[in-house]
Amino acid sequence: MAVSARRMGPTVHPAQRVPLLNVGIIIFLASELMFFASLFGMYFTLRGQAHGLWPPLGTDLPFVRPLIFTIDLVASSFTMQMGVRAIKRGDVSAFRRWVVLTFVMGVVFLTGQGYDWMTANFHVATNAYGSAFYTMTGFHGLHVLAGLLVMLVILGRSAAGAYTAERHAAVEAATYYWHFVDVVWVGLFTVLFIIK
Amino acid sequence: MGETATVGDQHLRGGGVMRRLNAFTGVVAGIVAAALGWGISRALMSGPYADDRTISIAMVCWILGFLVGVGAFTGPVRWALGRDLTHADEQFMAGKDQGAFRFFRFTTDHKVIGVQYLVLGMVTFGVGGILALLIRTEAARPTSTFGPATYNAIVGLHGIVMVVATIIMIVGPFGNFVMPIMIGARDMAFPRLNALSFWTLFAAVPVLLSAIFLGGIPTGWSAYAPLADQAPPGMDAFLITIILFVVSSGAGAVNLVTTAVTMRARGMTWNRTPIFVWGVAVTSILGLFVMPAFMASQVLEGLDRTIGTSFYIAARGGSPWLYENLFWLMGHPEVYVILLPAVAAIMEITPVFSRKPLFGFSAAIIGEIGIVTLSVFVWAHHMFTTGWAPALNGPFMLTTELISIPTGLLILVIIGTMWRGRIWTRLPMMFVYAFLWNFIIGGITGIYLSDVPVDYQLHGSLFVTAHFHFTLMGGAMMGALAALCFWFPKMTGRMLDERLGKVSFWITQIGFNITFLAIFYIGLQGEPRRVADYPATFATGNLVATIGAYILAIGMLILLYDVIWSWRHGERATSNPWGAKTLEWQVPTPVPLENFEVLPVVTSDPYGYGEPVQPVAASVATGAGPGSPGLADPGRLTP
Repeated sequence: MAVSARRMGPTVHPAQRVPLLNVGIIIFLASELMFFASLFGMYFTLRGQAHGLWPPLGTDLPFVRPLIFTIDLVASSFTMQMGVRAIKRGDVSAFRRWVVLTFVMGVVFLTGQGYDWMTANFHVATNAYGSAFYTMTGFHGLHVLAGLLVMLVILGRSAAGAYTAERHAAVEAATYYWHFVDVVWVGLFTVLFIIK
Repeated sequence: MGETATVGDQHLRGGGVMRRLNAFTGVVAGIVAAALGWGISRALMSGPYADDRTISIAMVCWILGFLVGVGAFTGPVRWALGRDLTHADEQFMAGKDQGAFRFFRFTTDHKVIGVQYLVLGMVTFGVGGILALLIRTEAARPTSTFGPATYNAIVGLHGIVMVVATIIMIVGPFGNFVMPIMIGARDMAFPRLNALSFWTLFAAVPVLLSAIFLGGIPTGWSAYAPLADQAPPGMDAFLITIILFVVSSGAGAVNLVTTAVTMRARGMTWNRTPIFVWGVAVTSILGLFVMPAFMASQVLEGLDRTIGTSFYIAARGGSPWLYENLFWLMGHPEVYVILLPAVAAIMEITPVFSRKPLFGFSAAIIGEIGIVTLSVFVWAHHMFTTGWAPALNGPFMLTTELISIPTGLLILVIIGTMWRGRIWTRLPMMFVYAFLWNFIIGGITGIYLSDVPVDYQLHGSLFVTAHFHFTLMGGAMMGALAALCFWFPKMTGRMLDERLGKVSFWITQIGFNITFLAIFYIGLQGEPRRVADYPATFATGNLVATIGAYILAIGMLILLYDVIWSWRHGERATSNPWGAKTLEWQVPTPVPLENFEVLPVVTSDPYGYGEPVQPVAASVATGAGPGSPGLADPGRLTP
């Protein structure tokens, strides 16, 4: 059987076909989804329990600028997926270009969110709405940041020649994670900026 | 296979920096980091949140320092730097040739982690048990002995310590030790994540205990806001513990589910997978889905306490009711996270001692999945008396009562397996009987409590306390003790002394039933929970309960002595003392590092007790190499 000595070690099942990491990351993301679901539940509970206007007076959010950054983040999911396609073909340099592009788009998104945070006319301690807004976008921002760090690691390992057409489970796992972060943002954008 | 590293060959001697790291360096690094974090934030912070921030930062520093010091991040860091662990490194991390010292390291071998969990679980139960005795000592007389504040802290700590202990008591030791062998795997899917899960939990223990010195937790284990918003810094310790616990159990659950899904031996289809594996996997999935809500509730609490958000502060638009929802969204499924592995262990043990296949394998699985599904739709039955929309009481009462159907199915499976079997009453089986007796009492009182009118009457009374102690302690913990007695020979290589065990069993059962039947009685009389002093009307019942609790404690101490004595001096166990058919009994005792030299191929279901039992010679256990693992039934399990 064509397996390396490392894969024959006591800790890895030699007959393994599905990359374990991909299964594990999907299960992990299901759990993460429940964390964000709790935050959404928090938002709607506060909204349902609120007396008076929601969002309260004095809490204004822009729409067009976040929409542009949303489109940027959604597009970055596609560029990341193009990266996976490239590595599946074995085209390492194209793969790196796509990941770098995705990384830049992620940084643009985070910058935009930071700008929104700085310019909003309410802050985290203003009222429950402010608490909910900053907490939900903040936890999402942390996840984006984690995704960017993972991309840096992947680029570094790729520079060391770690990924080939056959071995790229970590790339796929990172991609699943990035899609997840993206989908959660679509939900957040809908709830915080459209439905309100 | 894979034995490339020979001891003494310096070039292939793996481990690197891991050789110098262990639990002690972890503690030192943790204390240094905590002191640094505390000092820096103390110097920089002022204002109303300074205390809570300082303490939270110090605790987070302790955790990170400890994990760095114990070597938890060595693997990921080397991976990120492109210097992947070599085979020799992995062998070292799995604890190869390290003797007992491997139990104090960041060891990745699932068998080591299982034993670590077992010991940690026993210590946590010890702490929780002492706190329980203090509760009963306080409640022995109508007047207060310790004072209300101390009493509240004791009750709260007893609650959370026992919740943590019962959640890990089966999935931790037996899920880790037994499950991978049971499915014919060499280790878990992510061995390093597994060790991380254990050491995170280990690091959480001092954080929780520090709550005693930081003003206690006045809220009880449910930590209701807004009281928690006003509580002393002990609350920060509590909520950081919960966040760590959710991270730890989440990491463990991802690992267990991935292992069960992807690493079963060839031929082990889902309907040939032992029911214990099913139970652990299904429970882990449930935990993964509900625990994040607990984490969210505590994260929001922490933000309220440290950066001035107002999630639970009604004056600024928050809602304490939000806390109750988030908490119970986790809180009720969590009791099934405790119960299901226990029932699964009992369903695994009953066929062995009834010498019969499991009755209704698919009914058992339907029961487990039914419980998991329904359990996320019942949380609001804890809030019938909060004055919310009464129209929702009916649906939640209905879902709660419906859950007795899948639960009943599991009881039916256990009794059906025993029915007309050749029952062999050894110690594990006695705990199965105790489970049935106690759990049926606990389960049926649960049906009363789910009825809205009865709940209005009994909510917040000691009747509720007695109910969940009958299900969780009388029920789930009997499953854990059955599992302990059943897998003890495999885990320790020695037999548990049966005579002492039976003495302990009877004392424990009598003490337990006296205690909690008396508490049912005083609960019906109307005594509320969590009060330090009470009217003289309740004095007799309380005194009886306290006497029962001390009897129970004596029984538990005997069992503890039995476990420690047998671990050191017990009779040597053969590889398969119970004549069981699942894979973990087909490997030698002690189990070799790689579990199976040749991975098994499974050709039938694991409960083939219809055929005569072939004696498994004692020599097989110690004498034979891993290549001929004493297969009791070669026609069924082909190595």
